Amino acid sequence: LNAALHALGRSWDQYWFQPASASNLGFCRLLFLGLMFWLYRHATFEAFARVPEAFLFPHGYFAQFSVPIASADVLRAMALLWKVSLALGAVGIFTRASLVLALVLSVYLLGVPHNFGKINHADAVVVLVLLTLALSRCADAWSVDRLVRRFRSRSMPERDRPAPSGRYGWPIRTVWLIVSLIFASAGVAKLRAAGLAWVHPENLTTILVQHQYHYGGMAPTTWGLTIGQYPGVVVLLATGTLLIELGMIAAMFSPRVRAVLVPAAVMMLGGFSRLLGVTFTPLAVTCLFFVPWDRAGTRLLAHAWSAGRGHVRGT
Amino acid sequence: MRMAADSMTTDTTTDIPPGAPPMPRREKAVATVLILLIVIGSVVASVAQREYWPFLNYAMYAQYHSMRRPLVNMRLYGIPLDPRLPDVHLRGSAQTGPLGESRLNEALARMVSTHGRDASRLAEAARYILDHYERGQLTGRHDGPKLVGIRLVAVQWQLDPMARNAGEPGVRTQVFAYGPRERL
Repeated sequence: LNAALHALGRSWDQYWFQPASASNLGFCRLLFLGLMFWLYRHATFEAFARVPEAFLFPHGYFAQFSVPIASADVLRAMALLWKVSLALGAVGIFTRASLVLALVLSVYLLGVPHNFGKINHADAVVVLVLLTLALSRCADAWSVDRLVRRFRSRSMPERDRPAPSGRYGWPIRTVWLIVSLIFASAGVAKLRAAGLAWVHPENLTTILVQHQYHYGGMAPTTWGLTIGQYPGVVVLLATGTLLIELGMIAAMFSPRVRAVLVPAAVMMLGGFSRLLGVTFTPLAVTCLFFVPWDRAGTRLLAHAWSAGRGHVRGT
Repeated sequence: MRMAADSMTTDTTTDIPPGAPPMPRREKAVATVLILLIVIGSVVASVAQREYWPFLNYAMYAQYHSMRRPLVNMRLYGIPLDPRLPDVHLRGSAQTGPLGESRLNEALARMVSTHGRDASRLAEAARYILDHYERGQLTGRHDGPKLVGIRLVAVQWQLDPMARNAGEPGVRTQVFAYGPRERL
């Protein structure tokens, strides 16, 4: 048993705490928080303060701890502070404090609308990713904090670069885990509720058609109706959906699976948006954590360098 | 494109340099607790089929949908002051407020199912909807007719593969209504 536990511990360490570069995590932080700031830049919450209690059906911690819906002025101030903290976290100014503040405010503000009528599934991922980033050393690269530290210590950029470490790898992999679990939960729910019959063409065709009726037609296009005329295409789409959702766990372990499934998952989310009118933008943005930006950047620079040299030689 | 595909197949990890410092135990412990929390929270929500936001059961569209089964939706209609006008389907945030049509209708339906016909609660909700609608009218956010009441209606369609009847529900069942008695 001891040997088995030891081997398990070693595998755990090898997977989660493999040394990785600080720049990849830093760039992911910049992208994620920057895009979240952009996505929520016009979001307002103060109108919820004016919704009467009759509509209130508190969920989770709102019900558990009798968390009240704040007044309009407080909600407005909180939303402003939240956006500022997202922006500061993106550029990396007082990063840890900004991320903790963004996390706390996200838990409250994003949770407020779910107390009215129903829980929306689109934004829970934001809270979980912020929690991961707030506990990580994501400001050790691509941040103003780092530039300030470097300026204060008057060190050379090369000497000051943080060495690869496990502390930069686990946050990225934890975000992969969050994304994979979300997709897997959707896939498992389908198998549990409908079994393999879920891929029967009638099922997806009906879903596509229904979205032309919901709320006076919530699908932004009528493409779903055209697709519904081709049962073979519908089966292909349904099978693809199930395979992507269930396969995302494998994407955590295999670079080849990631290379296929992650772009496919993002396209699938785009399909939901166009065919059903259901958007999961924060989840699509979170998929950016699957891209190894440091290596992609190095390759891009190498390409630009060799193209530049070719151009010089040509002239 | 080739570069993008290549880069997706690589890993984010870096070759371990010989002198790479080991990760502090405390940081490892914090990371491990977080990872376990995320796994346990997600699995419990999924297995129990409950929502503990931000740990959710992503069961949207999980049920088998059949074309033969009629589709039932909740719809909120405004009752115009002018009795000659037909009821107005309330849509968009200018008419329905911050809750939007889907939340508003779900909340009203839940109100009816969990609080029965609690007249005061439903009346409070209806007055809010009417106030919001009127404010939107006064500020020019929509140009709908003046309303005197609202009604929540369960509308039912027999699905058509080309959605030709989407504009006209077949069966309408009033769930609750608020307004002058003679107009309900």
